[in-house]
Amino acid sequence: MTRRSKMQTSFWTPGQLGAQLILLLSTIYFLLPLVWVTVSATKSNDDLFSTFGLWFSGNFALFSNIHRLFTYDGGIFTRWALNTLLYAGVGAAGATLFATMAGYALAKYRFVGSTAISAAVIGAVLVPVTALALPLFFLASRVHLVNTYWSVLLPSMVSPLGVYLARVYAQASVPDEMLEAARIDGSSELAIFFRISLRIMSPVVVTIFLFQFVAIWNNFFLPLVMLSDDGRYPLTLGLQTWNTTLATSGHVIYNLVVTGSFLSIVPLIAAFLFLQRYWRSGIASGGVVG
Amino acid sequence: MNEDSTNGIVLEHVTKVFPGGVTAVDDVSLEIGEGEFIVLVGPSGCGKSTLLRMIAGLEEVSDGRIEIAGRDVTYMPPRDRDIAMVFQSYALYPHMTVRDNLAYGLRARRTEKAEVERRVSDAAAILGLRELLSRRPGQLSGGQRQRVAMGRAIVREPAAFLMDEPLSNLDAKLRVDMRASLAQLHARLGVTTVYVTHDQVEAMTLGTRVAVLSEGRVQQVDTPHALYVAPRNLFVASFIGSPAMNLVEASIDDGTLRAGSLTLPLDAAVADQLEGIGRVAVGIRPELFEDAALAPGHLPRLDVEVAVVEDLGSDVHVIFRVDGARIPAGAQPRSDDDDEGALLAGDSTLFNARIDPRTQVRAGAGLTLSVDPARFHFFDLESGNRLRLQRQAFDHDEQGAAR
Repeated sequence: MTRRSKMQTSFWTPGQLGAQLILLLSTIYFLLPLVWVTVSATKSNDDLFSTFGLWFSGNFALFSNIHRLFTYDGGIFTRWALNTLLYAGVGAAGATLFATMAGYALAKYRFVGSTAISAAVIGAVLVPVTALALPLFFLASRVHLVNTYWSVLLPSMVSPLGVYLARVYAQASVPDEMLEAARIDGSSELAIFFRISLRIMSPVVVTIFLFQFVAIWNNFFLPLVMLSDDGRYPLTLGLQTWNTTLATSGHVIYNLVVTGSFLSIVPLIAAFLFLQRYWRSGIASGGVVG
Repeated sequence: MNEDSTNGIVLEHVTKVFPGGVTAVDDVSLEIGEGEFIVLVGPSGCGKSTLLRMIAGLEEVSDGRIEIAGRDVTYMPPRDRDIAMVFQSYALYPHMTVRDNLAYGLRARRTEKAEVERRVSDAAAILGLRELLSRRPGQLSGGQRQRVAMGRAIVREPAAFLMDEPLSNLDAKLRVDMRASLAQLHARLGVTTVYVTHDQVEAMTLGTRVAVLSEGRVQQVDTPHALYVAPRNLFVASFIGSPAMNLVEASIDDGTLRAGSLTLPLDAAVADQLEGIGRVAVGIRPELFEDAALAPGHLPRLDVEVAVVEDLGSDVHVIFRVDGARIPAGAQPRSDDDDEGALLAGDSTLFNARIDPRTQVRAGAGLTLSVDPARFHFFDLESGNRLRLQRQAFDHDEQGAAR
């Protein structure tokens, strides 16, 4: 796991050894399910139950699984994937915009109630999304949004954690003097936000987007409560439906559920790798002294 | 001096009270002529930056009126005031190139593209920024960033420049260079400039006029020379000049000034005017002293016990103790440059004499100094105000300055 370089001393102290062990165990804990899904996605339905879970079977069935996955039930998996992309993409984009604006305003403008709002935002971070699903359902049913795309999209555009992160980041990295300079230069507040502040806040913008993208991508309960038409399902809900309804009705398609799960992780990993390079801090360095 | 103040900046009874009741700027009235370079100077917390920010429109005015180039701007947003500001931190836009930083204000005002090009390249030429136009602030040195901040103000061709301690983040040597460049720039562009600093050397060297502020009030507005030779009160006397003016409580009897261990004969004419007053504060600039061995013979002498000798090469600062009462702390500002007395303070007062470097003085030894009483300053102990005297040797300077 860890290769020690020649420069280092060759023995670990008991404390270091303990720390390394804990790290190793937690790495295994988090990676094991991923390995299982990856390995299992290559197996046929029979092999899934008859071979060792953490290693490949002789029969490499990944491509036939994928082919069946996309054709099964009239190719509805593609629909779910696109739905998920829509929910996560548009939802995260909206959440990022609103959270960044709100956090920036809380950090940079003095107005009556800003402290109270900040406190409320922190409080909202502590409320589990699941707990809000039912109240949201009742709200949505009141305005006849149940079983529409909006019923999932609108709640996804709210991110108290994002507001909090944006506020803290703006406080620390957007200097007041720079905003004043821009005001004197003749910019409107909106232009200052979009042309200057947002650029400086780009690391936190990316962070909020990624957090929210992953959260919506993995969200299960809210779509479950809101949606009844499987044509609007996201992947999580669709795969779950396959797993329960179809399985109990006699169709044995566990391999498709596993392969579907495997494929649904890929875009997340891609998003992380792609956006990671925007995660540089220090983009604001040099504009203001100190 | 302010013959054309209608096109400059006019402040009328400007007051700033912060929420919580702190009065940062207290009834300041000032007329700044067009093209004038005025420096607001004072110790930290004196309200100079708040005053500047009110002129810029970054701080609301609690009371009073501000006029820039003939327009009442008291309630105008900053962008409509036709001003440009240079900040202490430079406040450049970090994600933009130098070119875009310079052009930003013009583009925000929808200036024509060719005009933007022209002004940016003009400013870059003036400030020596041509080679740096495609760099970002992060890739520039402190001095270069400072120049970009200046450039951003210049391209706007505003009615007034406002500068908030623009040099204080530079190292000492660069600051002196930039100070000279600033003076040249002002001579060349002739734009009304309000410049805030806590550094009295900057104030004296740059200002056409200098406004000395303390506790939110203007203590004196005058040319640098007038501030130096005729400070209106104890605050200005002790704030302007480095090393600071020596101040001590004194009494005048029979034509003789007595301040603790100091006893000096005064000009009869001066002594007569002061005799009835009782105790006064006397102010003696350090350069009025000289090593008696190197001074003309007619001046009065005093023997002192030398505490510290600072040899600066060009001259020598001799610090010695005078057993007179210190001037009350309220009248003496605490500034960054003026803490000589702080370490060794006791019941007595420390005096600083700036003398010829050829002196043979050693710390701990005795020294005979000569001093020129004709150029002493006298202040009322109660009010701290200058006592105006009729005297020949001094008249010319003092009258000229007091106008």
